[in-house]
Amino acid sequence: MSLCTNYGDSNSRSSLLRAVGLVKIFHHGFFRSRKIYAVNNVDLTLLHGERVCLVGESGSGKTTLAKLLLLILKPDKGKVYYKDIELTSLSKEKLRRVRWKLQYIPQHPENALDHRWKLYDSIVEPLRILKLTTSNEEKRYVYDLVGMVKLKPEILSRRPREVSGGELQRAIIARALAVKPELLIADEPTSMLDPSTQAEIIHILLKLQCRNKFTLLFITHDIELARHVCDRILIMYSGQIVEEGSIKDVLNEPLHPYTKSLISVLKHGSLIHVYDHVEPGSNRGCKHKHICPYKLSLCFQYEPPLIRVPNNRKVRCWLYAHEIKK
Amino acid sequence: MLMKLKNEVLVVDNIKTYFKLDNAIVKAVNGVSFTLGRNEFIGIIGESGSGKSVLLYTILRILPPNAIVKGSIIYENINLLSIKEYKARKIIGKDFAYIPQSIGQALNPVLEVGFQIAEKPIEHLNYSKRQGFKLALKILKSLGLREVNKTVKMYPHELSGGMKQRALIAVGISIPPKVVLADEPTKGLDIIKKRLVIELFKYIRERFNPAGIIVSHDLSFVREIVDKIYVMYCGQIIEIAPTTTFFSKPLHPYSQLLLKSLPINDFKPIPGEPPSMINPPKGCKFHPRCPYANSICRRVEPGFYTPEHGRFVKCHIYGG
Repeated sequence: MSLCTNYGDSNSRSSLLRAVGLVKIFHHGFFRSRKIYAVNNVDLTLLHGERVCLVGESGSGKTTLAKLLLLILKPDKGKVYYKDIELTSLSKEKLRRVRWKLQYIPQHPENALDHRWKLYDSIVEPLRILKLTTSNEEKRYVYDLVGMVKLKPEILSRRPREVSGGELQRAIIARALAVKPELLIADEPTSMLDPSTQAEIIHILLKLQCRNKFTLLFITHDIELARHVCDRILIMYSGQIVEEGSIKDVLNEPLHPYTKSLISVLKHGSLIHVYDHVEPGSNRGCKHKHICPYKLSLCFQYEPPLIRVPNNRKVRCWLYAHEIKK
Repeated sequence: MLMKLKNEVLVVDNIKTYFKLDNAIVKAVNGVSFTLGRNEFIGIIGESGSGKSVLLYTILRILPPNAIVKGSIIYENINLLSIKEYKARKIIGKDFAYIPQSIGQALNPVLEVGFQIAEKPIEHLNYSKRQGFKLALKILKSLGLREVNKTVKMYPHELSGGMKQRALIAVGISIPPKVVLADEPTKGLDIIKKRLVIELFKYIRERFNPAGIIVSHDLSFVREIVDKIYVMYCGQIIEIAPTTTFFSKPLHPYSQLLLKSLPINDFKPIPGEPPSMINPPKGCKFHPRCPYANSICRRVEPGFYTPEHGRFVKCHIYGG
């Protein structure tokens, strides 16, 4: 499926959002004694108008990373730049003036909107706050918007629990796009929907992306789906980005051992390693070392950096250490 | 009604489940009949809102009080719908294993996992609590969990997703089940966890040889486990086919479009919208969205036709 091929030369485009060394630690347990590195040293660049997928199993930190990028959560370390503005050091007041350009679609549509509000009020709320339309134009604007996501106007007078999951998700897309954002982060928007509805929602999302040219960061655990949605893919494991590259390259020739096993599950339906709950013994070294079939002694001592390999790809694995010298 | 059941475990005959609302009646299940053979696994697929889950709830008798149920469900010469609820609960609770949706919320957060697994044997087989815990330990071990002694004493929030999934399945199989009923066991899971669920279901089949009904819209999952596919649309079953032939050659136009909407295939949504369950369309329920619909589809509801051996389809195209 190719709705539009706006994927030009990625080098010529400027970066829209850039994250450097993001870390988020959650404390839990007795006296907050145990630490979980939900996001661990993530560098990330999103270019203007590109479609990127973030793929990883549940618990790998995808959602936390998305929330850090939008400053919904405050990172413990690291910086987030929007164009040239450093978002992490802005005051709350200043952040509010910038952040509406970055919008978010959550995973569970049923919890995303106020249960007591009609859909119309929920969709129109950001417009009123930001004063983007006059009150005369407001209604027409919302009806246009709702038409774009193929919702019937009469649904606007209903409340969230009175509409189906697909309709609700479309209303949330409409709400996110009402303010004409430059970045849209969609966090597994279709994982709870049936296949036909999923296809429909993704079609709408991609069509709007082509028209409005916003940057789309699509979070999913379904690689098959990612193939239809994005041009570039980021594979996440245990809070780190372990592989990065164009979707075709990664699917045809995965480099990181984790990506290899993911793709083999997909292609042959076979599980190479059982990914059980592994209590990490020490935080030293590679996060994947416990289950990696190719592990070296080096993996237990030092954490691999994100190594640049040919074809504009990156991989976090010591097996590609020879590429560093080049 | 008494019937001699030889090869069938469950005979579901003309089930109609309606929900009474203030000013309308929702026809969630509208005339479903099927037989479930011994050791047979069937998969019921369809869009959300087609009545799949309600059908399961009807079999388990866990419907809300505003439901009206007609028809019969025969299990071991007993009509589960006509007997008193407490009697039905004794049979269903003992012989049927129910594996619910959304693993996160299905376990009781304030009870130890081991106790939840032991609850069924304690209730139905007069086990003591200690015996129950011993059994829970054994089951969890057989499901491939390590450090079971610790796990049985844990609360659900202390378990990882994969462990929770196995604990839930352990709850289901604490008494060897005769019938396994699963409601979208893979909803929202990633492929690695999905793989695990498939392995677990295969394990259950090998070990206990139960019959099973799996409700899901995850076709790639259903494909690996079940023997027969039942396609449900608007409260009715519209196609019955063996799994092998269904995926290579779906017959009903809806099944064809459903397969086309998968990301592995064309990824095209089915045109139109799901029908209203309060006022379902006249004639064939699918005709407003069907690319092959003609005048007869609008007027007459099709019966089941058998275009090939072992396949049934509710569509006028195959009426000859």
